[in-house]
Amino acid sequence: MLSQLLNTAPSKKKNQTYPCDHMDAKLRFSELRYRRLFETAQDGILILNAETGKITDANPFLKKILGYSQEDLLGKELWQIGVFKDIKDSKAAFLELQKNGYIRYKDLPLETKTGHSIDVEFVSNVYMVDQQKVIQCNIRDISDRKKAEDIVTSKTKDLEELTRSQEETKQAMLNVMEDLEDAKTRIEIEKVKDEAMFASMGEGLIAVDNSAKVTAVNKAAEEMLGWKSKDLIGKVVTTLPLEDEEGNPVPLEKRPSFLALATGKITNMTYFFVRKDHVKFPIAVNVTPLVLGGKTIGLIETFRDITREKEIDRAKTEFVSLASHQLRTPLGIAKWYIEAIREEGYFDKVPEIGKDYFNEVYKSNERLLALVRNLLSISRIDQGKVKDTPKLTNIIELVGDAVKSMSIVAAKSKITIHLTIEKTIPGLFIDPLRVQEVIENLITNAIEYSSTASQIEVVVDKLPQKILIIVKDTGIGISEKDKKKLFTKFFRSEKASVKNAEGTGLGLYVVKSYVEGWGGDISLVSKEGKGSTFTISLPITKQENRGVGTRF
Amino acid sequence: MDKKLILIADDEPAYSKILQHTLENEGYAVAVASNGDELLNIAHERKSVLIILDLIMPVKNGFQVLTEMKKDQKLKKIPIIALSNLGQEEDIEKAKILGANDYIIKSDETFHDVIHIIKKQLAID
Repeated sequence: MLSQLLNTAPSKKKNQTYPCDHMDAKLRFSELRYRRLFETAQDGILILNAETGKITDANPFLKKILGYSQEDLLGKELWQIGVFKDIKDSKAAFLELQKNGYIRYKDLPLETKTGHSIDVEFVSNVYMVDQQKVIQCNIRDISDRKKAEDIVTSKTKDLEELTRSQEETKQAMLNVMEDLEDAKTRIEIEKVKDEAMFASMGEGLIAVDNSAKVTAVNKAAEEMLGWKSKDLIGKVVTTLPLEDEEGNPVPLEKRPSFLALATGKITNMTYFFVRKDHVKFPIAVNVTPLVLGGKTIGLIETFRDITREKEIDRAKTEFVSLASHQLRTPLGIAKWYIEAIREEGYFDKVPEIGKDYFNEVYKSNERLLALVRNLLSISRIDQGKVKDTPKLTNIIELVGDAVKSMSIVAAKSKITIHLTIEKTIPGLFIDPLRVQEVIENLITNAIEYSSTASQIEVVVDKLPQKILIIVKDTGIGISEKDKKKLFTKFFRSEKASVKNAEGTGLGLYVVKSYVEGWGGDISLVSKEGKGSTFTISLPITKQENRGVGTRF
Repeated sequence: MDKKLILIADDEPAYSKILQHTLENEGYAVAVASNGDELLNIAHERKSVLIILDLIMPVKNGFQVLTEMKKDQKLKKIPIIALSNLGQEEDIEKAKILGANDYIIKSDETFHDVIHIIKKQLAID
C-alpha cells in the first residue's frame, strides 16, 4: 500500500527491483525528496486510495490545520470525517475526480475537528504509484489570504464608497453651485423688480440699516420730503425732522423707526414732517422691520403725505358736527315743548289714550336724539377726538348708581337686576361719566334682550391688576355668526332687530372704543337662547389722562 | 318794584319763546334777541341779572359776545349761561374760558332741569 510505501519508503524500496542502480538511486532520491516535501510542506497533503476513496496518509501540516490525528483520518473516507461543508455530494465529487483525474476548488470552506471554519484551496490529482491509482489532495490554507483579500475587498469597497461619495459631493457641489447661480439670477431679477418698485412707488420709501442709517431713498420720498437722496443716505433716520400737532419735535422713544427697531414690530404712526423748505405737512409713516433669523437687520419705511386726508377728515368732522347741531335744534325744541306740556296742570285732564299717544311722540323724539348723539360720538371716536376727564372714581358707587337707575327701566319688564361686589375695589382714575355710559349701555342691552320677569346679574370683581365689571343676562343670546360683527359700527343682528327695533347698532361700538381707549378690554360669552355675559376689564394702574379712541 | 331782567339770545325763536313764558311766569322780565349784536345792544341799554346765550347765531355768535362782554367794564359782571346744542367738550371748555358761568346742552337736558339750572344761577346773585 502506498501509505506503507511512503512511511517506510527507504526500506521498502530496497526490495524493489529497478532496471539499474542508477535508476534506483535516482528513484530513491526522488522518494526521499518527496517524503521530505510531504513532511515539511506548508500545504496539507492527503493521500487517498483512488478505488475506495479511503485516506491512506496525511502529512503533519494537514493534521495541524484540520486538527485531526493520524488515527482520526486513516482508513476513513474523506467525506466521512465531515470536513466538507459546502460539497453536499462529496461522492459525486469523488466520482468526478476518478473520472477526470483532477479536481480543483479555488476557495472551499472546510470544518476543523473543533468546528472551526477555514478557507482552503483544494486540488486533487490522480496518479499511479506502483500500478496503483492514488489520489493526492493538496489543501492550502487560504484563510490569511482570504482575510487579506477580504480586507482588500472591503478597502476597495470603502474606496469605491469614498469615490462614490466624493462623486456625490462633487455633484452636490455642482448642484449647489447651479442653485446658487439660479438664486443669484432670481435675486438679480428680484433686485431689478425691487428697484423698479422702489423707484416707481407712489409712496415715499426709505430703507434703513440696523444702525438706523438711511441706505436708500426713492423718488417719491425725495419729492415728498424735499431732500435729495444723497442728502439722506448715511444719515440716521431718527434725525429727520418729525413734529407733533403742536409743533414739538417728536422725542426719540416715540419715533416710529426707534420703536420698530426696538420692538421688531411693524409700527404705524402719524406725525408732521418738516420739509427742507420748512413746509410742514402731516405724514403717515409705516415702519416694517426686516427680520432675518430673529434679528432685525434693517427697516423699510413707507410714508404718505396725508394733507388731503386730514382735510377730508376735518371737513367730515365739521359736517357731522354741523349736521348733528342742525338736527338737534328742532329735536331739542320738540323735547322741551313736550316736557313742558307734560308738566302743565291741564295735562292731567287729557284722556289716557291722548297721554299714551303723546308719550309715543316723546319716546320717538328721544330716540332720534339718542341716535344723533351716538352718531356724533362715533364720529368723534373715529377722529380720535374723544377726550376723557378722568378723576378718582369709586367704581362700586358708580355701578351701584347705574344699577339703581336701570332697575327702574328693568322693572317695567319685571326684570330684576342683582349687584354683587366680590372684593374690595380700589378707586380708578377714570372718566366717571363715560364709565357710567358704558355700564348703562350694557345693562340696557341686557334688559332689551331678556324675557319678562328674568334676572340680570351685575358683578364687580378684582384681579391683581384689573377691575372686572360683568353684566350677565339670560336673554336670547348671540349667534356665533353675529359675535364677530357685534362690536362693529351699525351692526344689528336680525334677532335683535325683531326683539327691539329701536336700537341704533352703535352702543357696543362706543362701549368697545371707550374701554379700549382706557387700556382695558371687553369680552363676551354667549349662547343662543341661553343668554350673554359681557365682561369689561379695566386696568388698575392707569393714572394718566388718556384719550379714548386715540389712534396715535 | 321792577322785575329783574333776564336777556335771552337765540336765533331759534321756539327756544326763546318757551324760556320767556316760563321765566315770566316765575316773575322775571325777559327780553329776547335773535343774534349777538341785538343782545349786546339791549345789554348796554338795560340792566340785566342774567344772560342766556345761544352760541351758534348769525351776525355775531355767542363766542364773540362772550369775548366782547368780558372786555366791557359795564357788562363783564353779568352772569351768563351758555345754552347751545353744541355739545362737545371743546365747545363747553371754550365757552367757560371765555367767561360763561354755566353751560346747558339744549337737547341733553329736560326742560324741567333747564329751568332748575337757571333758577340756581339766579339764586347765586
